[in-house]
Amino acid sequence: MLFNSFDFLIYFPIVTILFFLLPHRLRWIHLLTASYIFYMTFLPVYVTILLITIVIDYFAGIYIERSQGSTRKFYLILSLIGNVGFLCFFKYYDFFVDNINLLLSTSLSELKDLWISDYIIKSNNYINTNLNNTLGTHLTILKDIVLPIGLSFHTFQAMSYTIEVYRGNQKAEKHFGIYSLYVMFYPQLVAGPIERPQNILHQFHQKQTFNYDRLIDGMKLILWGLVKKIVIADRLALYVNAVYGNPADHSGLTLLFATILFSFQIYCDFSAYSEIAIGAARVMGFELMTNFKRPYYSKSMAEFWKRWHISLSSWFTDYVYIPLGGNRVAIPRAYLNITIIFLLSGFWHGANWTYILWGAVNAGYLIFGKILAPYKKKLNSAIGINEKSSLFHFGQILSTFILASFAWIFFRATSIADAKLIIVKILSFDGPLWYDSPSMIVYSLLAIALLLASEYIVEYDVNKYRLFQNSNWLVRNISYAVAIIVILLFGVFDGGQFIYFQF
Amino acid sequence: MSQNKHFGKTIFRIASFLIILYSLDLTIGNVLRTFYFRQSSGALSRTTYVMEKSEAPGLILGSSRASHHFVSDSLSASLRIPFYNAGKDGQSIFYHYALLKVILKRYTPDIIILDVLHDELDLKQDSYDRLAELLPYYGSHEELHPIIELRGNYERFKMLSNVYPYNSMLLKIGIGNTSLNQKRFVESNGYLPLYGKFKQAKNHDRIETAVPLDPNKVNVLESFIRECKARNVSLFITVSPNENNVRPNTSVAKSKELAAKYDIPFFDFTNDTFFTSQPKYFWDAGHLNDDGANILTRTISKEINVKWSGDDRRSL
Repeated sequence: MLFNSFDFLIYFPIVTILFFLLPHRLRWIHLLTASYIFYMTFLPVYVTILLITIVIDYFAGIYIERSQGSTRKFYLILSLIGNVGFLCFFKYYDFFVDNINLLLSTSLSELKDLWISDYIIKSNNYINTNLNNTLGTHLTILKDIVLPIGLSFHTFQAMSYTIEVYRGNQKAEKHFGIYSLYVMFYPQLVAGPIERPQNILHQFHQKQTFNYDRLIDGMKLILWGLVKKIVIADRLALYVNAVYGNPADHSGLTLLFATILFSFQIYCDFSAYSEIAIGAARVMGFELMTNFKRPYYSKSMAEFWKRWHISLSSWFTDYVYIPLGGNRVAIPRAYLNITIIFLLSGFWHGANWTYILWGAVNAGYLIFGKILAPYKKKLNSAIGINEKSSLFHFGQILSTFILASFAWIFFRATSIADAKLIIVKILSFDGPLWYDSPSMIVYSLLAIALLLASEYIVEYDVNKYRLFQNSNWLVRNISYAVAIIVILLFGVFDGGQFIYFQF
Repeated sequence: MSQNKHFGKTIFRIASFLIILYSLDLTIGNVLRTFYFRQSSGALSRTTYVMEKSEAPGLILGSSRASHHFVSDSLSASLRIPFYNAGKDGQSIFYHYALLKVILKRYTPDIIILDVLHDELDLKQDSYDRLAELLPYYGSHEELHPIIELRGNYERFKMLSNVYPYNSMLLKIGIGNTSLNQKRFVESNGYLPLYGKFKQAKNHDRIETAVPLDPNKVNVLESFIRECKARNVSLFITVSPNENNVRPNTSVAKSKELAAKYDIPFFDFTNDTFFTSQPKYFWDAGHLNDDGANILTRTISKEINVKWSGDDRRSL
């Protein structure tokens, strides 16, 4: 069930109303059931994987808390192996096998050729055929094995629980249902934000009461998330998919334009999911962490990474970068640490060298940013550039956007060869600009203008133009209605799922 | 008591918002409707013309290949009845059938030429998405409902909005209300000629992935044929030429099979050597230029003249 589907539009209010109607002691059962149903609308069979990791981590948490010394570590490692094992098997198996086969000229079988894949496909098809026949659902009948949806997200969230229990920052959750809900909570189950137990777990124990202001706050986030997804991201996707699907047939100018559009598309697509998730949780009284803070207004790549996918960046910082020594080590080691977390972050996104290269490019930005920072300062003062001027800030924002967009080429291209072709063509800057119809360009540019304007207002705190937060009741309500009209008039209703679902 | 007051206030606020939303939707939707149906040129106005005004006894239905391949005036001269070309870019059998249903409610054409694609009956999501072009007619044409609702279970609920039928059409509606389209496109009774020659090298090795047939499309094509038969409309099905050789596929075979089942003439020009050997008659790999279109139209009208005789030619 997608957030941008009519199904969710019906499902969400029903779940929320029932949540508030039920007594507190039954709410966890209701939310857990709702979360299972939500997840099972994708591929019911994969809920088994979630259940196995939930059981492993639940008991691991309890045993870690009860144990001392090396036994404590043993249970942590056991839990991490369980989580990472599933991730490696479903997501990275083919990547490793393909590369080993290529390097060593072996012929190890791919995932689809293993007996377990056949077993999963048969089980899925048996379950789904029966459900489709009896309930009239349209569940997918698989031909090939696919990655369980949102696997990387809930695996990382589950891992943060056992790590935090091991570190003593979180008490082990004794209530199996509540722990299951921590992993399964449906608004953020398949694409984050990747929560920490300290932030969310205790909220499931607290009694939430209905609050009108919170309802409106949450609904505003959901509405803006839908605008970002349906009006902006899916609109830009029409152009980006057509061009990136066949880069050899397009000019440098077209590829450059498509790359710029993709920078906005991926941001709107992913941040929209986070905002809808945060909004849906807030309506029910739960506070999830902020995942994006207007990253394209960053003045450096270092700042960009503090504003982009914050829940994942901070996960890598807390559980990988700092344990490696962070920046409190010798400079070369600190640069190595940066490289490691960005390569891991790239690999987290997908089992493809393009993602790893995307991570490497971003690591390069940060390392060179640190190396060049003192020289840049000296140069600016030598030639008399005012670093506090608006023009200088604009230049910083623009250069950060260009760097981020360049890196996105590796993220979006289907292969390194395609990425290379795209870069070479962009640098040649030959025309003409391709378009299917003029409206394709006009709507895309309008969508970007809408995004930049709305984020400018928040970034620079231009309160008088804040429509959703306006002090006048009528202005506020008209702006909500206009947002809905904008979705109906300019939205792409045939758009696909969220990009980050594949991770 | 205070909780009741709070609840009442919440209901009042929600109701007020819904009134604002409804008013905006109604106002903007009506403005869009007015300007939509006021268009005098462009693709959207052609659809309105076919649905609401055309009384041509000869009709050409199909995708962009129909609109660029069949010269209405040439057919009119050859078959001695007025023809209108209602071909529409990117559309599939769903759209053609919808058009037929609306037209048959108003009048019965004597002859229909239905140009199908070589992959017409293949399962393609795009064929469903493109039905959005029929949404402005949903309210006034009940016969369109079953076709439009193929887009999804919730389409009827989305149609409660007055704005949604004009989704992504604002710019086109704006341009359609100016003379810009008349300057950009030449049109003659629906025929849209393409001028110029195809320059790209022939790609004989194009491999097309096998796509399953869409049972909905197969059913709709059969219904199309049956409705024409029931109303005594002389139907001719064609597959116009491609610059590339197209391998025999299940879609063409199924279309042919259905045509044979109902004794409908079927002219397959998919790999016609006259055209495939002469790229000068093409504008791109899938479309003939004006020269090619004139030759194809003449060839087809000769064939029709042979097959279409006696009682069938009611209007002559």
